[in-house]
Amino acid sequence: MTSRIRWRRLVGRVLLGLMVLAVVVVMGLPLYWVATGALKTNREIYTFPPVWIPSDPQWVNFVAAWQAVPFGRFFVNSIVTTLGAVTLELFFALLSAYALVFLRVRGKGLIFALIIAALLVPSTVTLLPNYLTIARLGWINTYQGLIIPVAAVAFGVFLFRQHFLTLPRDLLDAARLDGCGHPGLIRHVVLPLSQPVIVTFLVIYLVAHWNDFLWPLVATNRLEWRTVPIGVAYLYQVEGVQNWGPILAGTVMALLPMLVVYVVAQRWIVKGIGGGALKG
Amino acid sequence: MTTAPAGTVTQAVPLRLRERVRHWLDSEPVLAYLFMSPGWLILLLFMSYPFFLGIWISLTDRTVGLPSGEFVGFRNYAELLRDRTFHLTVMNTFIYGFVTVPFKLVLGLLLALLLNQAFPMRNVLRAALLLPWIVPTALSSLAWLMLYDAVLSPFSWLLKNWGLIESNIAFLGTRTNAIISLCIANIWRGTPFFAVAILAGLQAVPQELHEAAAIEGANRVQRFLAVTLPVIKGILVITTLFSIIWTFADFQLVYVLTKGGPANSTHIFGTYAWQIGIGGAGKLGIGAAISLYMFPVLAVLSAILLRYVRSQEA
Repeated sequence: MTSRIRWRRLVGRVLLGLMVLAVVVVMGLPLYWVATGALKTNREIYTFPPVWIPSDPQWVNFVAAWQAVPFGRFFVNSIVTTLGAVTLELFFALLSAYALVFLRVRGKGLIFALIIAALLVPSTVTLLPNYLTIARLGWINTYQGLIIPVAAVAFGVFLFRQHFLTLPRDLLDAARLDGCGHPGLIRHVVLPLSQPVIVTFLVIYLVAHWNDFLWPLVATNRLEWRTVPIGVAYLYQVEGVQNWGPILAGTVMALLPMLVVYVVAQRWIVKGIGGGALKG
Repeated sequence: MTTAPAGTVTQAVPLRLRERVRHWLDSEPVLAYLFMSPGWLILLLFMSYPFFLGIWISLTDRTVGLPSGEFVGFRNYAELLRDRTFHLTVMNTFIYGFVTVPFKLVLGLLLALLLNQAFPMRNVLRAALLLPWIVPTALSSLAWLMLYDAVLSPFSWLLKNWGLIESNIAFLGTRTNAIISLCIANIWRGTPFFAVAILAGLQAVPQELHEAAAIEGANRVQRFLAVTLPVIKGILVITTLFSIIWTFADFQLVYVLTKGGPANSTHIFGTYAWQIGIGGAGKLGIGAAISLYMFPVLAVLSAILLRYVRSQEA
């Protein structure tokens, strides 16, 4: 009897291991290809059968990528744009959601419906008119032009509203009776109770803005205003298909910052989404 | 409530300006509008205004070269109904949006259940799992472009090596192949988001219930249906709806991998609108009309989302 249970447990273990392995292979293969390609010579990239481990790691690809295009400037642009947009979104979305949940005001239902509607306006519709708007404002090739039009507050309002609804009302009422005003309530009660959902929001939107391609492409037309993803695509044009190594090296550099963000924030994310952020 | 009856106080003792402002700010509706106004300003200027401008443009024959078009009513919409490429575009978008999502949901659920088990290096694997979502689509689609290459594809090489195929597969060469290839790349990119959302939801599943059900003899499937599913149902519904909306309005993956080809047969709304409106032809009016044809479907989806959220709150 016990040996049978042990046997079954062993089979379960092996099956679990195999499944994990399969997932790693499928999810990882294209990325493994990019990461190792960044260290290959061009000949190795185009060799058949494929070379799985670069024989002589070409770290020089990273240097070549950095020298071919002004990567430093692209990183500065991406960092300012991403942080700027995320800060605006976080601040405005928190305030709006707070007003929608905790303040007595008419038309909450309608406002919430409009927020949901804003979630679905396709960016291909707004792209061109927004370009015309920032052109008229003289915002082409500026940080405000890169940041403000994409500071999409709707999803944040949705996320925070859903979370605020799960906060214990008694606690808030008690704080109010103690004479705590709205700014105090936000600072001392609501924010501390919302840390996981805030981190979740930050990670989702840091990634989204860091990776955005279409809007920075439209909102800038000078090389020194481009962001990292466009920079890598530009590298693709400069180096061409004959020289994949530096392109893949540029790709690896482009995704490293977000990898760090995710690894740092991971503990929070799992708690955050589970803690009511994405609950109906 | 701190909303003191501001009016009566003012009558009793004349207040200084600062205090009067403070009382005014204490009124909840005023504060609410103040809190909401910055967000609304951005939404109005860069969401509502361009949306209605887009509707107006779709009713004109505006082109890139001719900025002030003339009003033509619904001619652009009618023209599209006779356009064969547009028919294909509609079909492709529906396939792309509705076929990939069930795969992403099921695979994401399985992945989440898997990563919720205890095994060595679990945290590293959880982080690695998210890579497809973290890598910019503009770049991961370049990687897929290499993997799908007509001559150099490692997939073709592997299959040839195993003796399963004779010659290279034209992954992006025919409409059917290209659409399947696009769907696979999309599923690859979209699954991690489902997995992470569901994995998070699983943390809220009470373990005692699981153990109690196991003692009473419920097997894995029964326990999943009775204990786990009710807890994560909300996450499943909301993630699915968002995913359909995002996939429907996708652009980059298709734009990089096929540019709508071969022979304009793999466009989705976003890429076809781009090609007609901004890319080649510069027919802004028709381009806007293409994007707006997406609207009824997205409106239905968001209505479902709204109803679901409301029903949970009732």
